[in-house]
Amino acid sequence: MAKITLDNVTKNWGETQVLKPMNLAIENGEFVAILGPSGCGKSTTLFLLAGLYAPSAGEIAFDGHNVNRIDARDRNVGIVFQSYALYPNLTVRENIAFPLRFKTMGKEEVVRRVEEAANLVQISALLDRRPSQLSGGQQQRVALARALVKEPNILLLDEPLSNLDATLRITMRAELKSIQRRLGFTTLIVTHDQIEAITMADRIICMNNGEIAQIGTPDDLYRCPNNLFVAGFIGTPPMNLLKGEADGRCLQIANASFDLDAECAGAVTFGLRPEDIALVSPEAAQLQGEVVTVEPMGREVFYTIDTPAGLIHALEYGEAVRHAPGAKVGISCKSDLTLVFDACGNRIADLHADFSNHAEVSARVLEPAN
Amino acid sequence: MSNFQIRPHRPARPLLYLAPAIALLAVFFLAPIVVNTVIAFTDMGANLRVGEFTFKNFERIVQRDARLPMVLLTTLIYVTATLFIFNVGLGALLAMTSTAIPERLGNFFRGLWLLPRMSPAVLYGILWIWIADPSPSGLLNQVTGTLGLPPINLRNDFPLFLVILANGVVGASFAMVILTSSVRSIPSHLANAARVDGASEWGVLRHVVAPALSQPIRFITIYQALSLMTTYEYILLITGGGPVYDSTPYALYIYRRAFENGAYAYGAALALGLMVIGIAFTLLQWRITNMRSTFAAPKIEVL
Repeated sequence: MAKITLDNVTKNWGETQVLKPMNLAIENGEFVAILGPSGCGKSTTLFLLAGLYAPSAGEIAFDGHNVNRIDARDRNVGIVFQSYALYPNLTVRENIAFPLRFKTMGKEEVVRRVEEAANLVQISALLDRRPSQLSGGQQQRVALARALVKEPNILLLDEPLSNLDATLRITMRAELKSIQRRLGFTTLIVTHDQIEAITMADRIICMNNGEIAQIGTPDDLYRCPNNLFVAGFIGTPPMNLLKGEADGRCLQIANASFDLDAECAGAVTFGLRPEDIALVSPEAAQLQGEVVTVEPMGREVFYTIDTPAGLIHALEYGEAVRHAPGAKVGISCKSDLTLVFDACGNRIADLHADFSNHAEVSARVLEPAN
Repeated sequence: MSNFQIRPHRPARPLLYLAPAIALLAVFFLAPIVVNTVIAFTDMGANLRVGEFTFKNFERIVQRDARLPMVLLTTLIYVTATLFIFNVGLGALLAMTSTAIPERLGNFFRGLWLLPRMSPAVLYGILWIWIADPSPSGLLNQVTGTLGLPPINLRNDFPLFLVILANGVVGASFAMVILTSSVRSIPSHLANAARVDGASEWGVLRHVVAPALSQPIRFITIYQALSLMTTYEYILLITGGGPVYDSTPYALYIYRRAFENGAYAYGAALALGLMVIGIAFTLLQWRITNMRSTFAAPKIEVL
């Protein structure tokens, strides 16, 4: 268990800087996800922490001790690789016991620890098999047991679930999380799957192009994305992002205009989550449109709507398809759920557009009269 | 109206397709074995005349050939030393070192090591003769000369050492090429996992690289043992098997008996012995490397 700090850490491969100066502090026992698209530098960060790569500049510290010059084998870090990386010539038992070979430890202690780790990930029955005789899910459990057996300071998971099928992924997600809670290792998971990050991690580090786009709780990233990258990356289906022009308290998007609740000027991008949209009767909303496509997805229905502001995606809960293609609908949304980003792609704090349901507004206005 | 033309299904004739290959095998592999076996039971000499059919040659091998025990010992030393020190040992070392350095340098290095295999055997032989030349102008003696040592006559005093060295330097390239691809096919995350698990670079070599090389090394050992037992051209070129018979392994011994002494029938009988050893080794290879598992079912249906 250790607190991890990164101080202006960079990594260059030749001329290209794959990791821009990175500052980060991860608390003892925290479960953190590094989330980002392929090539954003998330695995590089993980390998830097493991000691498999040396940073080009900056300082990596565990519990305040600089580990820059400490080899991978002396860092007491456990890794689960994406491909599991089990030793093909060793049995499951030998695989799990492998990290203990390099520690001075009695035979009984090794046996005890291996069995403990195997029990923890429920593979006690497989100890005498070889990796080639195991399924993907079982191999993954072996890899996890091997990482846990040496009681690491830090547990690093490199896309551990991406090779599993969908149902197994959900089981392993829950199991990983509960094991982490029980043992309390500082854990970093690298993933490109936002569901994995959101469901498992206490905090998410969202990365793009070798730098941190935002660090925060899953809810922070979802509700208050700092920039367009995070806004577009978090959430499925992705947020509606519409380019427009702000002038004073007026927001012009294509052929539609909206009221802003604060002054603003210049080119902006307006963001609206499909799941925050309520489809109402056309006259009840500021923005009207025509349903173009309807995609029932079981638990919800996904609509694409052609509006004067451009194509807008909306998600409506429930199985019933309430609007047919060609239907006229009004688009409404709670104003405080709308986001506005400036020309550089950064979110403008406390600026929202009025997308309210006129019917509700008038009802609310009428209320005091009652 | 359908556009299909119905054509009668003609059965394929596998024998027809295989005929060229079978003919080649029969003429160049099977026929010589048959001819050799027949000659082994005659008294054929340099005049190529067959006087009688006899078991004399085999009697001579077993009872009267005083050189044979020495030749067999030479063969054993020559094959095992070349095989383990160079063809496997040096080959593996070259594969591991040339994959650990930057790729371009490694490729260059391996290309360099392959040159003698590509150059004519005679040229390679002449180079070694020049290196080992007993006069002070020989390459080795130029080096020892500058160190103030007396000239060495490798071909005369250490002939077996010389042929092992000359064969080994060429022979190592086979294992080098095969093992290089084995080393390359080890996934990098396996070595990384071992490092994180606490292994030193030596530990990575021992626990990750070595296990991956064991299967190809088994194959190389048997294959190269077979090839070392049956080839002799470098030895013939560099020492001629001499002085006397000091650097003559079994295969060269057959050659020298048959073509230097003109005892064709005796040479044929000796060759039969080599063939038996060869077959034994091939069967051993079949068993040890589990070659059947590398067979795959055909992807097309012929019949």
